[in-house]
Amino acid sequence: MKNSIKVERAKLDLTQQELAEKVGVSRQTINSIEAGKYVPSTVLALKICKVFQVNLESIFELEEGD
Amino acid sequence: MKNENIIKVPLFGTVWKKVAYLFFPLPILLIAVLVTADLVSKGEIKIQGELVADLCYASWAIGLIILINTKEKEEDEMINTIRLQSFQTGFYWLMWGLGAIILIHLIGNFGVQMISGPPITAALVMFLLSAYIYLAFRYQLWKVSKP
Repeated sequence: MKNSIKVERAKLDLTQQELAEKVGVSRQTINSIEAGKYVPSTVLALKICKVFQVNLESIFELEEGD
Repeated sequence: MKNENIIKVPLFGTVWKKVAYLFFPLPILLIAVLVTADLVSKGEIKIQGELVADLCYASWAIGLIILINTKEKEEDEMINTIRLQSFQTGFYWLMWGLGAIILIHLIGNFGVQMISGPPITAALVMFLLSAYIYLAFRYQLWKVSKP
C-alpha cells in the first residue's frame, strides 16, 4: 500500500517525531509506514488522516497485488 | 475498540530483560558449582549428558520466554503486530524443527543405528519454540528499522 504521509508532513512542516507523538506511536513506526515496510491498522491510519485533516484515500492508496 | 481482558497478554516491564539474561549462563554456573563443591565425585549427584542438556534447555527457555514477553522501549501497535507475527512464525518453525528431530529418531530406530537425535523433552520443545519466536521477532524488528 502506497502512502503520501511524507508529502503531507512536509506541507504542515511536521517531523516524524512530532507526527508520532500526535498519533501515539514511535518515530520508528512512522518511518516504517512512510517506507512502506509496515501497513498501519485502520485506527492508526484514521488518526494520521485526522492530523492532516484529509480523508483516507488521499493519503493511502492500494497498489497492484494488495 | 478494546480487547477483552481475558484475551490480553500481559507483558513484563523492560527491567525484566536484565533478569532474562541471567538465565543464559545459569546452567553452566550451576554445573561448575556442583563440580567445585565436590558433590559429583562423591556420587551424590550424577551429571549425565541428558541432565546437562535438559538443564540448559530449561534455563535458556525461561530466559527466552521472559525476553519475548518483555515490553520494548517504545511499545506501540507496530511492535505488537510484529510480536504477534513472530509467535506465528515461531510455531511454524517449531513444527519443522520437531518434525526433523522425529524423522531423525525414526531413521535411527528403523534403519541406521548410528543416527540418533536429541531426546524430545518438554524443556527442548519450550526452548525451540521460544528461540524461534525470539529470532523471528528480532529479525522483523531489524528489517523494519534498517534504512
